[in-house]
Amino acid sequence: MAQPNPPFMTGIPELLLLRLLAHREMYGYELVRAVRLTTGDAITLGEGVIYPALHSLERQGALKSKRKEVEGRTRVYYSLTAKGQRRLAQLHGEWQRIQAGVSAALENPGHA
Amino acid sequence: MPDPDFLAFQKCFVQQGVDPGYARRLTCELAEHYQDLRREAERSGVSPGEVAGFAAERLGSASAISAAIGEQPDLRSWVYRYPQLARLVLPLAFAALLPVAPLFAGINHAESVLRWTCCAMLSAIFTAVLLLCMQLSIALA
Repeated sequence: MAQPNPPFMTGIPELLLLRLLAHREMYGYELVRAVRLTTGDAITLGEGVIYPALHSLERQGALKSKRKEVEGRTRVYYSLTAKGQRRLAQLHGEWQRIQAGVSAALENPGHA
Repeated sequence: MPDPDFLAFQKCFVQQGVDPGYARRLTCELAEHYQDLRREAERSGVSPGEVAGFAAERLGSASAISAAIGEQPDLRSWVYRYPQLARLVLPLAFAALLPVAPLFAGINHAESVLRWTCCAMLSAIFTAVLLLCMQLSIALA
């Protein structure tokens, strides 16, 4: 069973969603599975709560959606826009900066 | 366990201040996701009696999803996003609509209005005839 996500997760789901959608278009269920697989179950997004995050990104212009009929079912596929690409680059940069900072602090706590 | 009541989900979202159109879209996507989860459960050998429970638990409750919507203020209707503006605009809009409200009501309930008008006219004719009879009886007495 996957462990619950830690409390410092703010912004991480957005980064993961943008990164996965930069690769190819996906629908909600597919995205949740992709997050689980790519993070090795380290991060589990609430399956229903992924949609408000996706729709918010869509309203901000970072994502676009289109309906497709697949095997008699209507699926909403999400893909990244140019604005989403820029947002991803920005978040990726911020993530690397924070990750480097936290790693440095954890490895050398006596430098303060 | 029965399948979740997605209509109740939709009502819950609207009560949380979500735009009704968006609530419908969200509910449709959740229902599709739920079907995918059911298929996953069936494929992975979950017993038929536990499939619905498995899928519903993975999908999350309406309150959990509502809480996630609460974290995305841009998904809520403008009345919730700009309450001060709504308090100013809505009374003015309703005041402007008040004079034409009977017209809209008349169009929407044309049959009832027609029935009521006919009844009022018949009763007016009856009253007029009654008064005329009384007047004649006084005049001829």
